[in-house]
Amino acid sequence: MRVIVVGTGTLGLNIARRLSEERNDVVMVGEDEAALRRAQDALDVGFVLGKGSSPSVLLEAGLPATDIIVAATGSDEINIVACLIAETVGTQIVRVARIHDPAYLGAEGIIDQSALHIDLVISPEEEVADAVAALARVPGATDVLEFVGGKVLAVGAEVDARSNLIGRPLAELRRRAGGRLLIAGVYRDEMVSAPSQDIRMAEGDVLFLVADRATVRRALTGLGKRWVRTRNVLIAGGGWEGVAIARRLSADGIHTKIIDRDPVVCDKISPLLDDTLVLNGDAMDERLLADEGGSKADMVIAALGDENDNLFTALQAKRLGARRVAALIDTPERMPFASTIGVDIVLSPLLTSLNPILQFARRGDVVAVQTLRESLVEGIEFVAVEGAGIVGLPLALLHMPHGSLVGAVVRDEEVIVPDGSTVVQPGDRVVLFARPALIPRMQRLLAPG
Amino acid sequence: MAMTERAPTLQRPPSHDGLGAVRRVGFLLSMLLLGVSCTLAAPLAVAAWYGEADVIGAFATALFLGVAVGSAGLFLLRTELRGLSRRDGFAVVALGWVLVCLLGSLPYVLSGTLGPVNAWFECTSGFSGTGSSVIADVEALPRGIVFWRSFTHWLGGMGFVVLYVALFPLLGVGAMQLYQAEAPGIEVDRLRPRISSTARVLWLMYAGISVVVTIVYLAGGMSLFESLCQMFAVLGTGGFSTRNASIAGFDSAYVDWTTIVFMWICATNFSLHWAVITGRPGKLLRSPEWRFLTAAMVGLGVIVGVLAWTSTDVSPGVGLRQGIFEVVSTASTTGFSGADYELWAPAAQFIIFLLMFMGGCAGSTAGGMKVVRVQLFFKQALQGFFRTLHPHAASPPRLGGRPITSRMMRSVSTFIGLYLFMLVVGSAIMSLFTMDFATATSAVASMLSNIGPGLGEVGPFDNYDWIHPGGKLVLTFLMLAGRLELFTVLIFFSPAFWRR
Repeated sequence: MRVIVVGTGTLGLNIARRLSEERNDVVMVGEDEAALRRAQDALDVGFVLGKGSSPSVLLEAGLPATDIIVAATGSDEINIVACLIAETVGTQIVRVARIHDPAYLGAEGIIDQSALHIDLVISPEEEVADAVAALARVPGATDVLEFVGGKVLAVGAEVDARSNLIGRPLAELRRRAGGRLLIAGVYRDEMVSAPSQDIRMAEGDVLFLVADRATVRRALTGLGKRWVRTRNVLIAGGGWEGVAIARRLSADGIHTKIIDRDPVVCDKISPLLDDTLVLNGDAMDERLLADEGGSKADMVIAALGDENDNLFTALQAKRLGARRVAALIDTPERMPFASTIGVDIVLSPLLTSLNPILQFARRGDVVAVQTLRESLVEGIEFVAVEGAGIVGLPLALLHMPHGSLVGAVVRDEEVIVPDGSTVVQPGDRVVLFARPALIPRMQRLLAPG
Repeated sequence: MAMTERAPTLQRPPSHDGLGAVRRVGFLLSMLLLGVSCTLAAPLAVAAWYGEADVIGAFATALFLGVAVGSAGLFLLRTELRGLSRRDGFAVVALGWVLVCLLGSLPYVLSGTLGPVNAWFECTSGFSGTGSSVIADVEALPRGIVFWRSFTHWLGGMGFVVLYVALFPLLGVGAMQLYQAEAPGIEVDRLRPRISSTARVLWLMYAGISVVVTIVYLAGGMSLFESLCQMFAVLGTGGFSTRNASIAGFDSAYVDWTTIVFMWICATNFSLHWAVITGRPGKLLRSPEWRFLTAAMVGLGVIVGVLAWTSTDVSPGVGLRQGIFEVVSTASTTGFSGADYELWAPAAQFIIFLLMFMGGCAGSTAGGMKVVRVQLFFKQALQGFFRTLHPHAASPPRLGGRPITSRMMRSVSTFIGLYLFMLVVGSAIMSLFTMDFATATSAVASMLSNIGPGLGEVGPFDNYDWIHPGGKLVLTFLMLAGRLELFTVLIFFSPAFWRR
C-alpha cells in the first residue's frame, strides 16, 4: 500500500516505521529536513520537505496514488487540513488524523469527526485511557488486552514472591486455573520465549496468558496476586492524557484524584472533571503523595510531560506502597528498563495509537489490532471467512511461522482455548498473536486470495 | 532519539562484534558470487550455439566453481541480516566487486585466451565499464569469450549489487547501505519510496533501453551477435567492441549517429528518464546537469569536429561526425573509437583530454567526476567572487533552483581532491613503469573515469597489452576505485574503518 505520513514527531516516525516494516511504500512529509533524512535512511521511506497542509507538497508526495494518509503532526489544524486536501483529491483515500482537542470531536457541538470527513481519529489520550480502564478491570496484571468485547483477555502478569507456584512448571499454572488457559509466552531478561515444559516459574517472570475472565482471575491468584477491585486511583499530571484517564476511570465508577503543579492548568481542567478531585501540587513531592493516599492507592499513574519524571514519580509511589504503578513512556528503548527498575505498568500512548492504523492495513475482516510490550507482539482479532487460509484445517497443519500462535477462538459466545487439533470455522472470531515482522507473511491466513 | 535500530525481540540484539560482521559480509558475498555465476550461463549458451568446445568447458567450470563456492558460503554462513551497518555495506560492495572480477577472469584463463594478469585486467575493465583492452585481435577470438567480455559491461553498468537489491527485498534497511556504496552520485535519487523498488525500476528501464538499442542496431544491418555485444557496451558506457577497429570498424554513418544518441542517453541521469516515462518531461529539459552535458557535447563536439576536418583529409561532414562522436564517447565515458584522434590537431586532443575528467551525469552508467560535481565546484568558485563583492549576502548559492548546502559542497570538494590526488600519485607510479608523461597521465585519468582509451601510447587504436604486469594491476585498482566512486575502495585504507 502507498501511505503518506505527515509529521516527523514520535507518532509519525513510529507509524512510518511499522508500515515500512510491513513492506508498504511510505512517503513522509514534514519541515524538519534532518529528521526526514534520518528517517529515510533508517526506515527506508521517501520524503518531501514542506508543510503538510500545503496542496502542492502533498501532490509532490504522490497524494493521488495514495491509499492512506496519516496526519500526525502536533497541530490538530494542520492534520485536519491535510485530510481535507486528501478528500478533495480522492474520496477513496483513507484519512487518518491525530486530534487532541475534544472540541473537534464533538465536545462543543457543531463539528465532529464525520463533519471533518476524517475516517479515523488517532487520539493517543483515548487509547491510553482505554488501556488504563482495561488494566483497572484486571487487578494484579501489568498488561491487559481485551478482545471480542472483553470475552477474551490477553494478560501479562508478574510472578509474585508470594506465589506458591515458584519453581513449578507452567502446566501447573494451567491446572490451577482450571485448564482453559493458554500460556502464550514468558518474558524474562527482556526476552520473550515460547512456553515449554522446561521452564520453571521464577519470581519476576512475566507470563502472558490468554483466557476468559474467570480463568484469568484464577491464574492470577495462582501467581500470588490478590484479586482486589480497583477503587482508588491517583493520577500525576493534568495534561491531555491525565485528563482522559481521569474521565474514563470516573465513568467506570473508580474514585480518582489528579495532581498538577500548575494552578492555571488545574483551573482549566476542573470543569472537565466533575467526579475527580483536582489537586494543585508537585506529584514528585513525597509528602503530597503520602497525604493524598498514594500509599493506599490501587493504581498510581504518572502522566507528566517528561518521561523521566514519570519514571521517578512511579517509583516513589511504589516505595510508598501503592499496589500497582504505571508510567507513560513513549521511547521504545526505555520501556524494558522501566520494567526492570520496578515500574509495574508501562503505558505508551503513541505506540498504542498505532493499532487502529495497523488495523486498516490488514486484509480481511479485522476487528482489532493491539500490541503488547513495546510492540514485541501484535494481537489481531478477526472474523474468519470462507476461503481464508486459517479455515478448515487443524491448526497444527497450518505451517504458522515460528513465533506466532492462535490465542483464542470464539464460536457462538463460547471461548475455545485452541490446541493443534482445533479447526477454525467460517464465522469464528479468532485472536492471533505474532511478532510484527511475521504479519505480512500471514496475511493469507486472514483473508482469501 | 527513537529512531535507532531497536533491539529485535526473540533473540539478542546484533552486537557490533567482528565475527558477526564477518558472517554478514561473507553471507552477502556468497549470494553475490552465486548470482553472478549464474549469469555465466549466457556466454555458455552462446559458446554452445557456435560449437566452441574448449570455451564451453571453460565457462562450465567457472560456473560450477562459482555456484559451489557461493552455495557453500551461503550454507555455512547463514545468518540474520538485521543490523547491516554502513561499514558492512562498503565491505560487501568493494570485496564483492573484487570477487566477481576474479570469477569473471576464470573463463579467459581456462580457455587459454589470456594469462592471469591479462585476464584480470580485461575482466575488471569489463565490469567497471572502462573498456581498455589487452586484446589485439578481437575478431579472432571465440564468440563465447567475446560475448562474455561485452556482457560484463552490461552487468557492471547498472551494477550487480543494485540488481541484487532490486531482487531481494529481504535486506530491508541494509539495502540502503549496499545501494549507496555501489551507485554513483552525491545523493540517492529515490524514484520510489523504498530503495528496493527504486533499484527495480532502474533495472527495468535499463533492460527496456537495452531492447530498444538492440533493435536499432539490428535495423542498421548488424548481426544479432554484434548488436547484442555493442548494445552491452553502450548501455554500460563501457567501450569493448566486437571489431578490432572499434566503431570505426563498422564504417557506417548510421552506426556512428545512433551510437552517439545512445551514449548520450546512457550518460543522462536515469531518474530523468523515469520522469519522462512517468509523464514529466519538463524535469529532464530543466535539469541543469543534463543541459550542461548536452551543451558541452554539442558545443565541444562541433569545435572538435571542425578541428578534425581541418587537420585531416576528410570531408566536413565526416569530420563533424567523427568529432562529435569522439566528444560524446569521451564525455559519456564510453570510450568507443570512431577515428584516430591522435592524428588531429593538438587542440582537439586537449579538449578530449579535458572531457575525461568531467564524465557523465550522476545516476547514469557513465563514470568520471560527474557533471553535477563539476557544476557545483564552479558555482562554489563563482560564489567566492560574489562574496568578495557582497560580504553580507545571505542567500545561498543555487543550482537548478535548489539551494546548495555546505554538506554537498564538502562532499564535492573531498571527491575532487581525492580524484586529483589519485591522478597525481597514479601517474607517478605509472611513470615508474617507464611510461611517458602523456601516456601515464591520460591512462590514469582514463582508468579513474572508466573511459578506456587515452593519449600517447594508449590511444584510440592502441591497446594495453604492452604495459608491465605491475602497471596493469595498478591500472585495475584505479578502474575499480573510479567505478565505485573512490570512497568505497579508499575507505579500506582509513584506520577509522578498522577501529571497532
